[in-house]
Amino acid sequence: MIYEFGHLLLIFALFFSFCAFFPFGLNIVNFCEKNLLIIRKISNLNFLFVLTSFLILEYGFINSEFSLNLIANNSHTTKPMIYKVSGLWGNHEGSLLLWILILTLFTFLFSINKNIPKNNFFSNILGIQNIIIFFFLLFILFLSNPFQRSSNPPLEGLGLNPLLQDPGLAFHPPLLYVGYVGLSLSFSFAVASLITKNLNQNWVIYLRPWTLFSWCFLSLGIALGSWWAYYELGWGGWWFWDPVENASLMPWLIATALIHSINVAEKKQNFMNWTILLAILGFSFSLLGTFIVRSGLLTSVHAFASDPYRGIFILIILGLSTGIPLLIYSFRNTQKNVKYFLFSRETALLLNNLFLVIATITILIGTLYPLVLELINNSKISIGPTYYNRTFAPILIPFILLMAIAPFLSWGKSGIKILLNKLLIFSGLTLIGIIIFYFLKPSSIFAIICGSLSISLFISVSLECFNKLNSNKRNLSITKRLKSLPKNFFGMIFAHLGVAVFLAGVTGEQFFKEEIEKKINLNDKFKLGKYEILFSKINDVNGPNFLSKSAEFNVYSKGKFIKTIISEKRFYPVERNQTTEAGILNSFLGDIYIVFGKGNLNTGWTVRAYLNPLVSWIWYGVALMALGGFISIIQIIRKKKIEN
Amino acid sequence: MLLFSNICSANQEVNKSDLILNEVNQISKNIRCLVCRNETVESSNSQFAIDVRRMIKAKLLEGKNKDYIYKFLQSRYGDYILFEPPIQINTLMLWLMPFFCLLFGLMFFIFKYVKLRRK
Repeated sequence: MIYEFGHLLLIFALFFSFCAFFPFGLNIVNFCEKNLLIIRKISNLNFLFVLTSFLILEYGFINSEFSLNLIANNSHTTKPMIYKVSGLWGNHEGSLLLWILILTLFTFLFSINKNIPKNNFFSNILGIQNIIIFFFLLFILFLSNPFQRSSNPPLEGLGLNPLLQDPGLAFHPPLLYVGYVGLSLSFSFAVASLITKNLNQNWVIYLRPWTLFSWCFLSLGIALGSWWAYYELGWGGWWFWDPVENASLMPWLIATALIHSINVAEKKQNFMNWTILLAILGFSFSLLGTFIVRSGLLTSVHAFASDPYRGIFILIILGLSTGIPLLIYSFRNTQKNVKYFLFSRETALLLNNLFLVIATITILIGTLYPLVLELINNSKISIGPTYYNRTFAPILIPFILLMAIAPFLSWGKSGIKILLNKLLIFSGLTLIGIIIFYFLKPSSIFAIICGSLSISLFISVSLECFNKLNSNKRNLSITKRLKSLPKNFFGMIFAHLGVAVFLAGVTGEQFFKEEIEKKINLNDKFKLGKYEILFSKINDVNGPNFLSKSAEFNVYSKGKFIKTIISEKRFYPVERNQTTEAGILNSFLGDIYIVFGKGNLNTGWTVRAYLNPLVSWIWYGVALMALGGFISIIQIIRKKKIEN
Repeated sequence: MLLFSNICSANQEVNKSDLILNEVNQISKNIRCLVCRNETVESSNSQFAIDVRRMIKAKLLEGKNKDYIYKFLQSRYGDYILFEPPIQINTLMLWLMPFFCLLFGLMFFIFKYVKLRRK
């Protein structure tokens, strides 16, 4: 009974979000407080409805209610509690409900926000959010209903894909969805500004924290997903250019461009058109990502169920939500020609946007090209990492260099002399850094380039800190000088430092990696870099819902015992599926990564071992970027409090 | 002396087989496992991947090189098996478009500045 109630609540939410169209339409013609109040009430109520419905479904998962088709297909009584709870979003219907929950949550948070003036602009944003909610509710109710009952419920569920039975599932999708869905607000901001013809920069001030917020979550979500793939798939890599990974990277790149263009729009009344375009595109790419994952058009490790109708429906939403705003956009071109100079922060940020958009287009081409080709002449091709490495490098190199130089440029017009001075110090220090790097014997020219980019960024960031601290108020103490720095300085420094750390990680992992594959037996030793590894033990272990063969490897460095690595091969009897759990010895400077393969006592086992220097810096780097974003948000909120 | 040379040759043999294993890994990184989902032959443990790896090893021992093996696989299974799309007519746009975009973007940028300067 309770599940029918959950179903009913979703239908109510659909009805109410439809009702919100009328006051929204009336408000466009003639703004009235009362209508706005109705929209806000509906937004708040819808959040409550969807939340309750979500909790009811969660209750079903926890109690293994197999009369619901969704739970019977994706859960099992022996599954540990954490996977019962997170199993809700380990499938198509449930993850869509999570998506809608976050969408209504954002709308609710926006609706109760006290800082933003309650005018027709505000009403438009909420109205557009409700339109998006309406379409997604339509989608879930008619094409992917999580509350569908079965006529003869099974006694036991089918279980969850073992690859998903990992703590990563509890965090990766929710974080990613907060990022995806948060971009819907930026989208609504942009469309609302197009409707009200309010193309001045006032609204950008309110857009910034929301965009930053979703960008941070998107970064964390992607990083967590990559880390999860690294330790779970047992392939030794951390990014596979899988279509679904690309689908999350595209909105991230656009959101990154958006954050930077908002910066200019806020300060200089410039880039307004560009900002609007990026805000629209950001959400379009989020939807495209959803479309790619849900439609099953592209096979990937992520693909859940594939149903052509679902794909078509999302394609319609995508077409409408991109097409209509872009159409209005093309009619509302009110470019103000503000003068700017070649050597200025504005130029640097324009180029930044350009590179990021081109990078996004490159990924888009790589992701969709095989699809288009198959439609045209039925030939199938695969596009793997090599393609992206080759097309990305020419964009990435100038982009990172620009990133290193940009902080030296000032808004408006930079003094050429000061600029040259700074550049000279910068290039000198970078050169020294590169020479030192050369002694590490980088294996190829690409290793040198990648490492040099990271070094130049490190030096740029530290020089910038030094300059800022040294330039004004020399007589004050360090803490006071730190306090007098511009407010968004720290956010930028942390984010850029994050990129430098990330690139250092990439350099280490890509170019200094060592790997071996060997057939070895118990008590055999092998060498990996400076380490000696002894295959010491093999055990049979029974987990809560799996049987496992676990192998123990003792790691020695110069004859000294360091630690034991346990590498497993698990068999999940319910799902009849096997997973490899790589054994990882993690340290700040690098990981030892051991995958334990097939074999037996007579022939020995195939063991694959990797030495991945600096690999964890990749995720530390992204975490630093997100930290920079959060610092900026906190500073915006503080500033508002002081102003109030 | 004999003992010594024996050890040496054994060592060399180990090194040689290790080298070939390494090369097999390098080559199979670029080959799609056709029965898996977006996985390379290098990372996959499916029967198909094992067979392909064995085939690569045999070809390498015959003295064939990397390009020959790719060509061979391509003629047998189609373009789909290679993760690095070869440059040919139907992938020409794929390889060129990103560079056109970059060129186009930079031209847009320069054009904008020339326009601003004139004003």
